[in-house]
Amino acid sequence: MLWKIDTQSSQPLHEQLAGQVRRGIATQALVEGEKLPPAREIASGLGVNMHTVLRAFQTLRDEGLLEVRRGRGTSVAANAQPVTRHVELARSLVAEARRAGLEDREILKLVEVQL
Amino acid sequence: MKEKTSRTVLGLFIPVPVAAIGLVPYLAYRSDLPDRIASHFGFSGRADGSMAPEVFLAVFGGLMAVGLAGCVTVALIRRRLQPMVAPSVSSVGAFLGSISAGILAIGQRGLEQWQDATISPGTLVPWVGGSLIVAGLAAWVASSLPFDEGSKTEAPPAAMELAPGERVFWSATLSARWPLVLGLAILLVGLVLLLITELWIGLVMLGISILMSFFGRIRVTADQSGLVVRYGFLGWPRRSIPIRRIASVRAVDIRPTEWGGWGYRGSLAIMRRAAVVLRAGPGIRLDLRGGKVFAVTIDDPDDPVRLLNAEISRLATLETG
Repeated sequence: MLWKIDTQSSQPLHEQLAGQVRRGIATQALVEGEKLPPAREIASGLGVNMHTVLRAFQTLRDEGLLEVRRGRGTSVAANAQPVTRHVELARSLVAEARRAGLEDREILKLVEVQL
Repeated sequence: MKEKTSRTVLGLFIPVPVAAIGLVPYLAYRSDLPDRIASHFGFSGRADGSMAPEVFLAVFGGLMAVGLAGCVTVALIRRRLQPMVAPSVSSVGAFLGSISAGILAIGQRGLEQWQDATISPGTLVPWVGGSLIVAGLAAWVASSLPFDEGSKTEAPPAAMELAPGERVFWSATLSARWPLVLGLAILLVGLVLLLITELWIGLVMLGISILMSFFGRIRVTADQSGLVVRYGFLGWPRRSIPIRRIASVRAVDIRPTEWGGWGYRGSLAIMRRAAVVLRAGPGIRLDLRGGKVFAVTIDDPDDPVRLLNAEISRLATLETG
């Protein structure tokens, strides 16, 4: 897979990296169970700090898209493909609600009501 | 014209010296040699097998004749000469020639009988090592021949557009089953040999099966520092080609026959060409500065091709200011 970041963009690097993986999963450039290159290699390839890459991995793990196993590397989670869609929907919901002036507490409540 | 020179060298200037290396010592020493020629040595270093001179001549001469006939046939018949053919054929021929010549040189001159011939590490190392050097030399000479590589005037290399702050990294893996199947088979044979014959034969087989496993999986990465190939399941050993050594990159269809087979073929140092071939099909070809060529089989080679070409021109503009 091709990883691309823009160091002159205002978007934080770890978010750019997470976005790359999400897009990779959505377009099936990354398939379920596929191992990602080691964070150290991605970091040196892109000339960024390894913690930036690990932070992106952490976010993606929390979203249920990646499985991070100590000593065995990071791989794309099973059924990550359908989950990316939910993650994207949630992200756009949050972005739009914030733009409309809602507070985080209110956004949470909005979702809760639907459960 | 160029192609004709190559054919002459392949059909004449390689076979003749190789035949000389192999046969001249025999013809020159003939009267001084024992009745039979020691051709096999036991672990103690003493000769334990012999051949009648006629058989020796037939076996080694025959082997060489087959190799040389191969050279000549390729030179005369092959419509398009493949760049890897001459170095491979001539190095094998030179190795066989040198090894067989060496058997005579291992103190068989003036011996009363072949059983007196001995071999020791002191002669074995220069014998095999020298033959390898002769083979390497033959390959190096043959690889400097010009070859017609077909239409070279293609579209300018594809490169991606990169803004100054943009950084790119590409990674992909390619797996193959044949090295694992073959490696396992060799391992099993090695284990059996370990039990029934000498230890070292088993260890050599074990070593070969480990080497085979390196080609069961490769991971290739490309970024601003160049291209890296990591072999095997541990990602070791690895081979890197720094971006400064690369002149241009393109996607190619790799046919194992054009690159000398499967596995790691050729040598950048000796044959000026090397390829990592896991299967037939798409791959990436790096034309290095100074005319050397390195190729790797990989799926969807467009991204790494465009990435590396972009980084090459970025480096060039950086250096010219």
